[in-house]
Amino acid sequence: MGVWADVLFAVILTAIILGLYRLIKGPTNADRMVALDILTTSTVVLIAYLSWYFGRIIYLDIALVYAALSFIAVIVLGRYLEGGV
Amino acid sequence: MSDTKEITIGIIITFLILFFAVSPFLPAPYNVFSKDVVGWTFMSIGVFFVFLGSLGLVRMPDLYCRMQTATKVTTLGALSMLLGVSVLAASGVFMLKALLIGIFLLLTAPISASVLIRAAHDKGIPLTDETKFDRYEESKAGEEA
Repeated sequence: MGVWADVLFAVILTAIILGLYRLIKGPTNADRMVALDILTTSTVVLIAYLSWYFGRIIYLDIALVYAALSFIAVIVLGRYLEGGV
Repeated sequence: MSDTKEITIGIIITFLILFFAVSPFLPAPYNVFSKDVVGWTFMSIGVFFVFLGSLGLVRMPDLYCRMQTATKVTTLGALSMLLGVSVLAASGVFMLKALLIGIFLLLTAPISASVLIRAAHDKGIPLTDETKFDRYEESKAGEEA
């Protein structure tokens, strides 16, 4: 199962690289925000994976705070795009 | 009549998945699946859907289709990944924290998606040429009239 864990890690990293492609290329700012939304969720998944891989429960706290901050960031950017605030 | 049938099938499938998820922690005659099988299955499903969501982000034609794949990353990808990781780790604190993250993601993902999509639509970001109808545009026109 050690090899399969490495394969899963590589697939998560590939997904993050695909998201980064859209973040850089995206034609409009809204596309970049959607890419940012996916990237933050993928990062939460990656942190949960690393937390299990290294056997450190404390990493999950980082994932929780990261999820909360990314939610606030997306809401604020959405309000900014709407023209309010 | 067909509604009742579909709902019944859905409930049965839900209970089967639930049994599959909790079966490693049940007493002797019911622990059909081991922790490894359940954990690795859920982890593989989660990583697979995270990858599919990012692939859709690159390949989909316009912003609204891309947002539709983003919801798959959160619901199927992140939630089943957290479930699989917490089954594999098999510790109470880990499971509690993973459950907390899962509930938080489940609550906030629809809100941020809705805010983003409404802002983009009001801003006038174009839809793809293959769009058949746009209900939000129709409802906004109805309100103004």
